[in-house]
Amino acid sequence: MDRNTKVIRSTDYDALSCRISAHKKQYIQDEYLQHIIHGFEKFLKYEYKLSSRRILNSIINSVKLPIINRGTYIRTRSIDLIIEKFLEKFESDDVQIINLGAGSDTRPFKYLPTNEQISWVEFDFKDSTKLKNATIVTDPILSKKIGIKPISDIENLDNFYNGLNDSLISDRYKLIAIDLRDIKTLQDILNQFLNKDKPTLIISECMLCYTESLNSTEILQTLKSFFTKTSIVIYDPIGGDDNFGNVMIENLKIRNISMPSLLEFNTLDKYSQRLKDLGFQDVKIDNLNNIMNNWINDDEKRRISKLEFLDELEELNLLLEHYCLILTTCGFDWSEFDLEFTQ
Amino acid sequence: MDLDTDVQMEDAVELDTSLEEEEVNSTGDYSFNQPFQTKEGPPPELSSQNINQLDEWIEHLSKCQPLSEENVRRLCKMAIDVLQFEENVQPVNVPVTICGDVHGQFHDLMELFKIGGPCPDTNYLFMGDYVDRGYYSVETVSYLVAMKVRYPNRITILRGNHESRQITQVYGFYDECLRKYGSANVWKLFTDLFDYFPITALVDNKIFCLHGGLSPLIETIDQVRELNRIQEVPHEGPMCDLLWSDPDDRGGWGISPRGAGFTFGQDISEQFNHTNGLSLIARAHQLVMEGYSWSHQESVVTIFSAPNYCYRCGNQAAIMEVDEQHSRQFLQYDPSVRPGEPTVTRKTPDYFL
Repeated sequence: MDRNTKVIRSTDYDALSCRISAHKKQYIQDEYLQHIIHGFEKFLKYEYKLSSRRILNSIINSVKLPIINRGTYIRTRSIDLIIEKFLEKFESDDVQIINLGAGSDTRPFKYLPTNEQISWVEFDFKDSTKLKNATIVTDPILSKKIGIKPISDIENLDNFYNGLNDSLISDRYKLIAIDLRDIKTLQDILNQFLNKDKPTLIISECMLCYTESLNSTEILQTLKSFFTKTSIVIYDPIGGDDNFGNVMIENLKIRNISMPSLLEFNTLDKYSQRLKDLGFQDVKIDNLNNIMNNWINDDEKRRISKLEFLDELEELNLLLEHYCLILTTCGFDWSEFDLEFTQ
Repeated sequence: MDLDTDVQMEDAVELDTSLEEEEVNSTGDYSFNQPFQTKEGPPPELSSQNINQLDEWIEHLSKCQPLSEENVRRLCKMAIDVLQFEENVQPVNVPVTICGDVHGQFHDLMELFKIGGPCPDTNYLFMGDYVDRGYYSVETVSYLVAMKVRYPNRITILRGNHESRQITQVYGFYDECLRKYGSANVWKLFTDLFDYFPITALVDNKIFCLHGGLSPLIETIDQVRELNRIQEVPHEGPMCDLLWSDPDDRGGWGISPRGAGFTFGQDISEQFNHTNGLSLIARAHQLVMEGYSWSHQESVVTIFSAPNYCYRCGNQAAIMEVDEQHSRQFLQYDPSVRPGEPTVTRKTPDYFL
């Protein structure tokens, strides 16, 4: 794993620790996080020889501030809502859901058992998929949720992990090791494992932002031209042209994280235009602050606001305004989609 | 999280990998001070021995070095001796420089004194929120309290909503005390002291200063004087509102999205200023990108003195000078450069990644 890949992969641990914190504080309910952590306890040491315990400790025990918990809530919930609307829209069709850079996402365990129509495909770097593969196949609950038989009689964990595939290919769930920048391989995988005519929802949750815009453009074009009916949902930071954005870029630089497209497509208009220029006609975009205000009903907002005292509303607004959600649709009409995007 | 790969740093502590919420540990059993009235009359004079001691502490703290637990205990005891004589509405004379939230950003507080002029040559009025969020709450609050005890007539320190037992357990001061002292004793000493901080100040009978804003239960400044403030910040009621409320574009009273205090409109501010013969309400409590912000047609001003708040927000900070003729001048400033604090060792604030 090169340094940059390693750094990008570490961002999944941030996301996971945010979800754990939001789960502990009851913003979200995710019964599968516990299982992911059990897998990490067993297998993270094969990926990080000496620092695995420390990484695990910081994933599980880092305390997140209320603004981060709220931001994690709306990030998770907004994408869930789009998935649920998509399933409603195609309730009598077989559909595909693809998560680019899935990391430790637990959504397949939640949605596969209750929605027979879905086949779910997750992409990520090979070390990340291998860790998740080991986690799933050794966990009876996770295995059951995706419809495979768990492996129970492991004599030697080292041999088991060393001999394990990077990818997990099953009937309804596929976890595929790939560096998405390798367009040729992406093309091959699409041809081999995906059906171009089934309605397909593609999730890019904090993934494109780490990719050079030349690469991300190629990825988007490849996906768009393969499927006949597709919707892409993108969650990314936005706004590299103001003070908050500048500080974010500087702070992330300390961790060697770079977000190349943040400077280039730094407003909602520019990000939206980027997709239109790629031939996406129906592009909806909004910042997460508006999404929080417009998508979450008053009862739920009240529930959230009671979980923890929020000391600084302006800071929350500022933070959420620097993340955007995009929904773009090709090859089918989704005009009845009724969650509001202000742009 | 930071990922220093493959550094040998295994610790022997067993990980608690259950995702059940831990109970907030034994700090919940703090005993509230018994409410009692503030004392009348002038506070006792400082002995020359105490002055020397305080100067030594201030010198030490100005290098961002925390005091020992024993010295914090002595400092807090001396501070109670001073603060218990202050009023709920502490009178302050002009000229004075009025400051907003600092939030443990110690180096930026030193920058503030550079911009505004050193204390005691310049008189200062701080409107609360010294602790939480920044990495140097202990040093920041110790420094300001030491200055208060040393120069009681030159500096006024009001209470903010973060000067509270409950809020500091969520937003960092409690954890910082544990980390820097190995126990919650210093947190207990300071949060007990916070109960004595005055909750409002009145500059030359014209500018009403407080951390948050107005309360539907308070129409006159005299009503503030009648409150019993020596207690933990309550969850509701007039004292809570004064520390939690915000001005709003909508008129009248509104429910605060913060879950405490209220929002109040221009009609409320104008009525309050009229009733009490005031020219201005100065308050802090809200992040404003330019460091200060007018509301309600200049009947309310918000002042925020933590630049690049939480090392993430990219905002400017400001302080407001009020001179003998009551003319006001805002001084804005950016984060201090911290030669002693290499950025690489600093924990970066959280983002959604």
